Amino acid sequence: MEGNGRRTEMVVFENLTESIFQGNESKVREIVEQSIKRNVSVKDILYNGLIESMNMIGVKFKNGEFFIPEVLRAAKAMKAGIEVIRPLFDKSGVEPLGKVVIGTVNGDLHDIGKNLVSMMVEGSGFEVIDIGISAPPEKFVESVKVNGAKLCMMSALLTTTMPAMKTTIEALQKAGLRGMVKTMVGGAPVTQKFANDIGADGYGSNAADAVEVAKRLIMD
Amino acid sequence: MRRQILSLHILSEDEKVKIHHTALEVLERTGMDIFDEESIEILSSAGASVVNKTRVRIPTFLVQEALNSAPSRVTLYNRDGAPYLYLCDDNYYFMSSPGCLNIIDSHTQERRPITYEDMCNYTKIVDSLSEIEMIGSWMISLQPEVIADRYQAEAIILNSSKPFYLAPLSIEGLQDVISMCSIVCGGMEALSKKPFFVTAANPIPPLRIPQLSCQKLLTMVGKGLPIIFNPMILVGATGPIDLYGSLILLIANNLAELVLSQQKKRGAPVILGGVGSAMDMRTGQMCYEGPELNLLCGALAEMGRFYGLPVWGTGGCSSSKILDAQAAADVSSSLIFSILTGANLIHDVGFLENGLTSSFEIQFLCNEMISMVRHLAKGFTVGNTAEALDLIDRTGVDGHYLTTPETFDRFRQIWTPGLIDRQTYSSWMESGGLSMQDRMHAKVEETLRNYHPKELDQGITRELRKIVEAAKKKYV
Repeated sequence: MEGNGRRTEMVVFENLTESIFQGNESKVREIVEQSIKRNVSVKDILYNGLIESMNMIGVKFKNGEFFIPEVLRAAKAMKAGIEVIRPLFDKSGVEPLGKVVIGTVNGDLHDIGKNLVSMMVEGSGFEVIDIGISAPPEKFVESVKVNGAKLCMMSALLTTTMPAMKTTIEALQKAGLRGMVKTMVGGAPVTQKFANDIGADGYGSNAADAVEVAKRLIMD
Repeated sequence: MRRQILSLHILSEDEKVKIHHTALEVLERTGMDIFDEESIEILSSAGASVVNKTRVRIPTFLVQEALNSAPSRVTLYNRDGAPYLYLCDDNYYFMSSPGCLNIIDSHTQERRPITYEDMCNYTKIVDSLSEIEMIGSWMISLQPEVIADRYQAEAIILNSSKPFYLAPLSIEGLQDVISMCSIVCGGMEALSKKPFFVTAANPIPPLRIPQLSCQKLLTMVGKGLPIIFNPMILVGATGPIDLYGSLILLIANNLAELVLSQQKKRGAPVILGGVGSAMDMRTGQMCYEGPELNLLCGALAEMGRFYGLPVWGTGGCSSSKILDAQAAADVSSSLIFSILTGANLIHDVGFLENGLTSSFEIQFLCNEMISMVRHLAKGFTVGNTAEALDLIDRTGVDGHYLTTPETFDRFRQIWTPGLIDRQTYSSWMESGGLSMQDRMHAKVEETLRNYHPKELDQGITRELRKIVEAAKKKYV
């Protein structure tokens, strides 16, 4: 019996993966709902279904088979699936993957890179709180505190606004949050060296890299 | 108006009108978010409607007025007060790589931040080059960052008499750079009459203008200096996926800044501009090469000519990380396109890594390719038929043209390269078997050793230093 159940589950997840690949939100929702009805565990749906599918997409993206719009569409479909099971996390004893606060730092209005990273991180199963453009350090601190975020991601396109990343990390420190939240920086002029210099925990050189580093930092 | 040089047309006349009208509709219907109170006040008193504090909708009549009052030509001078660039008609000029953060070190080949000394050497090199008329400032790595612009301006003014472009990092920085230029000219009024420095006001697409860009525009216009409009659009990310849609956004952003400039001061000199290119859908990078860049920037240049306003173009740039075969291919293809589509001031010459990096060597490659493309763009004359026939008949079926008077008169009109090698294999080996890379590097060494730019008066040099020191004192 156990074996049969496992097989059904795999077929279901194959369909789920296929629907995520196609970015078919309603189909993803439907499969997740059916799985719940069939008593597939929420944990299985989350990890072996939704997140595993996105991991597969991540590999295809890295290989150059999938392009950014396909990844984003899949991420959106995956999120639709997560929303179905999110209310069941508590009851099922599933630990959510963690929350991420992301924003463009103070003085900088550029947000295409931040938006891209935000959607891709969301597609990895994390709950993302996007605090928008030109976010002052206090806004980052407040959002990290209120949401109990595990990761704070900062974006900048201008060399003149990069120092605001340092100020933001200092503000998190001052608020006594540095122990519970990891920090990450990115944006065209930002480098690994700069990240090291200002004491950021991570640096993403592009959107795909940012997702990998974010995952590593949160799972640590 | 028919161009006197070879040209390439992406848009028909009807299409240009359609794009113009569509951009006007965007400004009136969608509007722009403008994050600067002074600019909003100016636009609102002129007749634009403002909602939710920042959303400004610009009626068509304001654009029409602005198009009427903006001068159809801008002349840039050199540091010594001589007219240098006539930005109008078929004239086209080149500007070296503005805003780069890294240099590929000439000796170690290592990619590293730019120093003040690099900035001086880079300026000297561009000053020495015959085909690059204007210097685009690199960004020096300095702490605090915010004073780097004064050092950049000083390095340029001391080491070149060519006009320059620099993107100040703050309004105070812009004011200091303007002061430095006015010291050179002998006062603000003289600088306004003979500007040798320009900067750009960058909107953030889709449709936003940040405060610093507004203030840069208002400051330049207020001082009677030319301003460049510079929206940078990523096709499929900050602009629609179809090039038509992205071009509409490029134009709408330009027209919004045009209205602001003309409302601040009727007749303010402006240069239309911007860069449109694809976002690479595998890496998320903005591409400084490729068909989308060339088509969009080319179409933008055509729109500039349609409006009868000076327009800047993009060419001589690459997404390659180093100066390699890719860089040479990217540089050459974009240069050809930028000239043939009719931009007046072509920038980004010498960009590597999508504008993050440059090198001394690449300036020589660009200089060589520009020289070649200039010859190409001239086309050739279909001359006197009787003379052509006479020469062919006179020489006959088994003669040659090596010693005809016509050949002797004109053989130097054949383009002769400076760096491209045309020797036979054995002569090339005998002369050292140097690669293009080796030859460019040798030029760098030779120039830095032997080239001496025209010196600036000692008194002026001291005055410039005072401004740099004052900024240092204020911020450090």
